[in-house]
Amino acid sequence: MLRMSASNRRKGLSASRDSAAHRRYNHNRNVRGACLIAVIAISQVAGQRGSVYLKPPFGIQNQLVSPDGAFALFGGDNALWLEDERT
Amino acid sequence: MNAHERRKVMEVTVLPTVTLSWSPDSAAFIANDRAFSDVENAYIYDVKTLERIDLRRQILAADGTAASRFTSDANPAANHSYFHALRWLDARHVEMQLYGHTDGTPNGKPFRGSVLITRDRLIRRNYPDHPAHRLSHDSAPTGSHAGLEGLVSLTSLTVRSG
Repeated sequence: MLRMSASNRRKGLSASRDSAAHRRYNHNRNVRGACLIAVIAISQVAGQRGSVYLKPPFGIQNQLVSPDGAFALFGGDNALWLEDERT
Repeated sequence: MNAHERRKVMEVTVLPTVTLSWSPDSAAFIANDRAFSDVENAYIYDVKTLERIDLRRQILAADGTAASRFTSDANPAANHSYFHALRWLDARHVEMQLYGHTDGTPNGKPFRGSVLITRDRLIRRNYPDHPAHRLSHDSAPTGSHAGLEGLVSLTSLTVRSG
């Protein structure tokens, strides 16, 4: 039968504490991740209410789509364009 | 090939200075155009017609006496004037920031205010440094200058189109 020395017991206790701390860290990280996902999801559902900059590269590849998906705004040729996605 | 119908909304001098925001119902959008470093104008565009409402004009028409301090036309000291539509509160109401500064170093004397506006009506405004605002604000139930709860009600000011 193997006997655990006092030193090893302390190490085991320390490892146990480390493991608990690690679990708490993972738990907190998961909670933060879930909160972040929730915030992103809610902001997407709520729509783009705050104003945003047109970002380069300008053009249809970097468009700002309306909440209902029917229209898109984009920049190009020194102008702002509106595209009807339904046509 | 992309066959979607495209319409030009407006000419833009510098594209990175344009900020946009769709209304929640997709019927309109805001375009803030900082055409020059010392001026920014805000517009609401109707998606169907692309007719636009110039919010600077609307505010000055409805509240010119108090709001003129934000524009160099009436206040020569307001050399840098920015009328910025900040966000949609719902499909009708837009929160705006009015701010700027005089010439000087590094940025002169700043001035700042905020407005809650619809397409045809100026609802509330908050010009913290304006005497008229302070008089009105003293009688208002809320005391905060930060946020919409501190705005002065202006429901009698209807904006005339054109």
